[in-house]
Amino acid sequence: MTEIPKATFRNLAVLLIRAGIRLRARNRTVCSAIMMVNRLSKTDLINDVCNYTLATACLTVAVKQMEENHIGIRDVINSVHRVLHPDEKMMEIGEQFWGIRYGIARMEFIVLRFLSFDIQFEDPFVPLALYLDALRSWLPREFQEKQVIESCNAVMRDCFTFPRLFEERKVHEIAIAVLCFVLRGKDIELPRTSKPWFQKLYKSSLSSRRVRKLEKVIATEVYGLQLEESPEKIKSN
Amino acid sequence: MASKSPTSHPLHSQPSSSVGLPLANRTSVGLISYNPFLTTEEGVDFDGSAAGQFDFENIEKVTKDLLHYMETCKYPFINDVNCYEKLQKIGQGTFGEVFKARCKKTGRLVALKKILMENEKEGFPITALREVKTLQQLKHPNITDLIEVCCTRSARNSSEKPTFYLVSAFCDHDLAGLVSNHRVKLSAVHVKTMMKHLLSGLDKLHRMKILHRDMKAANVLVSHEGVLKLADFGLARPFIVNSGPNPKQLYTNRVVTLWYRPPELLLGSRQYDTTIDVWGVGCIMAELFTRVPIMQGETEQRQLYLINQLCGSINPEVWPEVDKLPLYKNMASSMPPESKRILKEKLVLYVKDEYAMNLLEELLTLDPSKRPTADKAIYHTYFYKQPEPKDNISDLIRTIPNSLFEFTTGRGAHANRGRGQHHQRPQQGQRKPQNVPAGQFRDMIF
Repeated sequence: MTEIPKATFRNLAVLLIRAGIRLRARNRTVCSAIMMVNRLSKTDLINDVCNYTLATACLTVAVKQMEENHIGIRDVINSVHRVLHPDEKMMEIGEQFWGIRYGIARMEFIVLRFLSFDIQFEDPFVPLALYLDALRSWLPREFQEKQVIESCNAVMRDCFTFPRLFEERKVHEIAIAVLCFVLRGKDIELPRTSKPWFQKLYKSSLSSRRVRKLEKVIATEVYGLQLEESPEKIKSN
Repeated sequence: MASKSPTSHPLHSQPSSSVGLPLANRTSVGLISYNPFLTTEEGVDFDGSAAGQFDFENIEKVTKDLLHYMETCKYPFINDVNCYEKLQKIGQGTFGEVFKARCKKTGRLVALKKILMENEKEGFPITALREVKTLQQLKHPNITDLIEVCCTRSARNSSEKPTFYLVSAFCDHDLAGLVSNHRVKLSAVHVKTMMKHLLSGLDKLHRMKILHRDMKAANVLVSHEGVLKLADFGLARPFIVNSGPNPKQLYTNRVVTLWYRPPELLLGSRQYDTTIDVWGVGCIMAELFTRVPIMQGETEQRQLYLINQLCGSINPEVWPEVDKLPLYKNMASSMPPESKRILKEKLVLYVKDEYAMNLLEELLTLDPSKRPTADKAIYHTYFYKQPEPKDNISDLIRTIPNSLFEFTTGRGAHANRGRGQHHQRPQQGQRKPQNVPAGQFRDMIF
């Protein structure tokens, strides 16, 4: 059991996210595909077959899983091709196309078997949407003007480039951290309450410190940032 | 093939001028400035040098490697079908086979349902994936449980493709086999208990936002403990609750076995909802009393005619929206304008309980918007009157020595059951895998 180097997994995740944007796929489809790649990256499979074919096959499985029936295999191949080769022409239908398509169709079977058909995905976008909806009513104008919802979804999607986060933390906590991270980045302050909002909405045992730690993980591991100051100091500023 | 690792990290080599997270442009919060990445709307600014490392040209070669890999792969993560010993075929049709089998390790009896892979061009069939996903999600006493998915180990040097099987717990009987056997005496308590199980299972299904789309007696199994279990999710699909600006989702109307198909499907509706399954429950309930399927049309027109005869004419008076359905005008010849609803008169000989009759009337309502949901039907007075339903019908099951399946036994009482009445396939390019352990008899129609 060897883990692929981090950068490579990240490449695959970025590839899937970009292809997903081109396909107008929903976030959970793309993220489910990334989590499949993540699980497969802990098996030997990742060393034996082309990683890009593997990632593409995960995306086609996720498309089926999430019932995105308007997206076909060919759309997926085209968009992946476009992301990988931005300067080339669109792929012509020909021997190469059919070869790739056949390979991906067969690869779906391998993916499903290696995952033992366990492709359930715990969707962090659901709790995120719930929290966003609850907080939006406090500051409707700021949320609209500063596009908080769009950014939160984008950051949450980016978090999947560091899948360990989802293996170690609960999706609710991640959703809370993403929201805090974005609000901090956009300089939005919520009205002061006796307790932080997430303790009211989620559970009171979740400390602000823990959330800040998670925010830090997002900043450093997902976005590769060097933090100049400790988060505590940032807050006091 | 392991891919080459790009020398420069593509994430960090992007021009910072691209459109991205608005938050990325803010530096005032103490985080050092960072580039927006990953989320550019167009995704075209992927760094050229890094992308060049992604050797797409090689994929064609890889495909051949892949084929070789597939042939020799041992699949360590999924069980081999040889773990099970096939005992008897209990279902057969165009769409696959169902076997009764025994686990060699534990001795447990299971049903093996073969997933047919005809259209492998499309990869793993979405219908099969739906079925697996549905069964994994649904854990309920009145729904068959999926034990695992297993496959044949592909033999070395053979071009034979591996076959997948769905493994679920074996059930002794199916309702169609049970009902058609006249030696099986069903009391009022039995019927009530069975209806309760059926509606609980269906309610769970609908709560999970899944349509069954193939309700019929042969798809309801009865376990050794006398518990009814819904089976065969080969046509099931998740549905989307239409709300707000979302475009309405269209489904195929070529679902549900003809005898159990509700009028809105026969009239070409493609925006149906959970009540299509409720109609099927109504047909099954009537069948529990009459012991034969109540409406046995040979064609869609004939089926519609039979519904009109039994449940009264379909017209905008009883069903306000009906004239908007696509086939309402075309099917006018199959719908006698002046027939009365004679459901009660027809069934009064069989159904002595007035509450049962009342529930039946509700389940077989023509207008789908007036038909009760499974959730509502479960609270019908019928279930709260004497005699009260029991936990299971094991007292009945104990008296039956042999397994009763439509496939293995139904040929006597209903020799033609399933023949010529089969629904057309949904247009998805794949054929439906056969039912889990329900051995319904499906004739070749192609």
